[in-house]
Amino acid sequence: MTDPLEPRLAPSGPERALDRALDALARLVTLVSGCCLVLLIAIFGWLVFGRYVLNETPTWAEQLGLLLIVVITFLSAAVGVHEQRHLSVDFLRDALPRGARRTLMVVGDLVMAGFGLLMALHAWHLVVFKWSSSIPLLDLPEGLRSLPLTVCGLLLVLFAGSRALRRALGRYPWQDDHLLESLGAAPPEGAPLAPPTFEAPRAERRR
Amino acid sequence: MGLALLLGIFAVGVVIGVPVAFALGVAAVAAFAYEGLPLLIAFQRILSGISVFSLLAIPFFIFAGELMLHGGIAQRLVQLAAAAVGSLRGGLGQVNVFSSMLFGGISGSAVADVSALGSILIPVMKEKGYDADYAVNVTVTSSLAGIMIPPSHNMILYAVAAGGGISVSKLFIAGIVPGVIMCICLAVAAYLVAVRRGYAAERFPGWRSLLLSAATAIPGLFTAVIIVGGVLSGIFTVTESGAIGVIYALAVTTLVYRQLSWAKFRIAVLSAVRTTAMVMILVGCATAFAYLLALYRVPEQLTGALTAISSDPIVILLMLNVMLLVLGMIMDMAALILICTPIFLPVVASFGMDPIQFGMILMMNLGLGLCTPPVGACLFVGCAIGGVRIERAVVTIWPFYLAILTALMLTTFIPAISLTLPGWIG
Repeated sequence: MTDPLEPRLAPSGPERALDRALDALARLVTLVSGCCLVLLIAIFGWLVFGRYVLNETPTWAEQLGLLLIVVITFLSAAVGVHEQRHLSVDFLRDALPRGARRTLMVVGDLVMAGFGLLMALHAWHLVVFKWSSSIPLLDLPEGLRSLPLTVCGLLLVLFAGSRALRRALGRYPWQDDHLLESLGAAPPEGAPLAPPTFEAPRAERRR
Repeated sequence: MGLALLLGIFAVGVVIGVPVAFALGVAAVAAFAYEGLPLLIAFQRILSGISVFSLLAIPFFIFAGELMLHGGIAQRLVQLAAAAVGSLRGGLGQVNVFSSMLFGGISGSAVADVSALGSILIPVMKEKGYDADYAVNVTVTSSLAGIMIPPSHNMILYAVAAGGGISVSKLFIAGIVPGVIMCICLAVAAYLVAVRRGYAAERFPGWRSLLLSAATAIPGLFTAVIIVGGVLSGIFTVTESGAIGVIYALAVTTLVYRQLSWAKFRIAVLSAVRTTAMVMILVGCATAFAYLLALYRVPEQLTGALTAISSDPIVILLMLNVMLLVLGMIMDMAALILICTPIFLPVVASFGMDPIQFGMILMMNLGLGLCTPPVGACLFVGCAIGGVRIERAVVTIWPFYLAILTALMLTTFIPAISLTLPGWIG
């Protein structure tokens, strides 16, 4: 059985470098999100400890937790686009001929890149608009809360945009062959719908 | 026109394969632009949909599920289930359902349930001579226990979508009876199919072995006691309970079971953030989408349309069930909870239904959608683990669908199933 991730059309040197750079960026972003999750747990552990043991509730914990969940969500959501992990409805697209499918994949990626661009621009306006006010109890700029959206938007442009371009040029067949399988085929490891709970993430296996 | 644009862009986005979360976001942004509202507000809505204190419990529940899987808790729950019910006819099918009840009582997620228990039980069932489609079907459908049995992060989403007027602790406790009834129905279906196919029973390992399995599983099971007990007693908020549950699970898996290595911890953390992001971005985009639905007065229009068809509450409830089932088949659960709750809750409230009972009906309907093609995350994951093609699994899954539908009908038409336990806690 051939590995669905095995290249059929060998990527050029710059393409390999781009793949490596995007994967490294995705890993870095996921690592930051992971650290935020650990920090989130520590904060809430401290919150309960403070309230019941020290008899002094850390009032900043709630607001910091809300800030961290925004970071985790938007950074990892962009990585999810790179790793094609988000839930999507593929069966209608997959019923089309191969060429049409590829066109729709390009359109889908362009839609996400466009959404990312709008998100980056408007969220940046939010950052600037709210920078002078403070998050209650934290003494941090309120604009920080919108910053992860800007970063997410930029990452979406980068991940989805580069994939759209390469798919349009016919230079991205080796990583999405599983998307071109017929309906009902058992998803291979790393397919978008497989949750990351019982297998190593695709980006890590590629290493 | 604005509503048509909103729904049209969303539908086109989904059809061409744009991830559901982004299809919701793109449609919302387009509708904001069409209405001449600043796009900045659209993104602010997405952000505010995520920045809700009670939603902070979601990453904790997801992480707790990952720790259970990688830290050996799931294995011990399966061992306990095997010792307790393995000697029934088609024993491993019963073990599967019982394990899902125990695991669902901690993870709160159906997909986590399938991936965790499926990766343990499906290979064993195949090895013992069970057909792969049976193994997959039991695993996939029984995973819905994760949604119904507390704690369930979907219940938190429902409480948020309902406007915050419903107590999460009441929702948690309300899920117990419908969840257990659903599991009993599934166990009956698993038994009947096992008899028909001639599957054997496992040998009863003896009371000593059963007690030993229970003793080793109890520290892991205590995670659920901490989370649910913390919420019900009012000692912790649901978010704090989730965090304490995670800290406890970390302690048990490292100090008691000694199975959580640094590498496994890392995998659990990274998996948890990936899954969290998938759920939360859906929540954010669905919030912006639901805001526009409210702006276009969709709930009022739907109530009018349904009452024009019939004024009989039973007919209306059946129609709602069918609509939710169809929607659940083609859309993700988290997004549907956030979109459908503000639309359908006023409809059922106008017929005197309790919001808690509707929550249970919503969970079961949309949960069934996770097990049906064309979009069924649990079905896809189960088939991937079992190496079974989806079309083969769905040919023989109907007894299990019937079991869930039976539980759904009981929950729909007998309010006491959902409301008795919450009534006890006031």
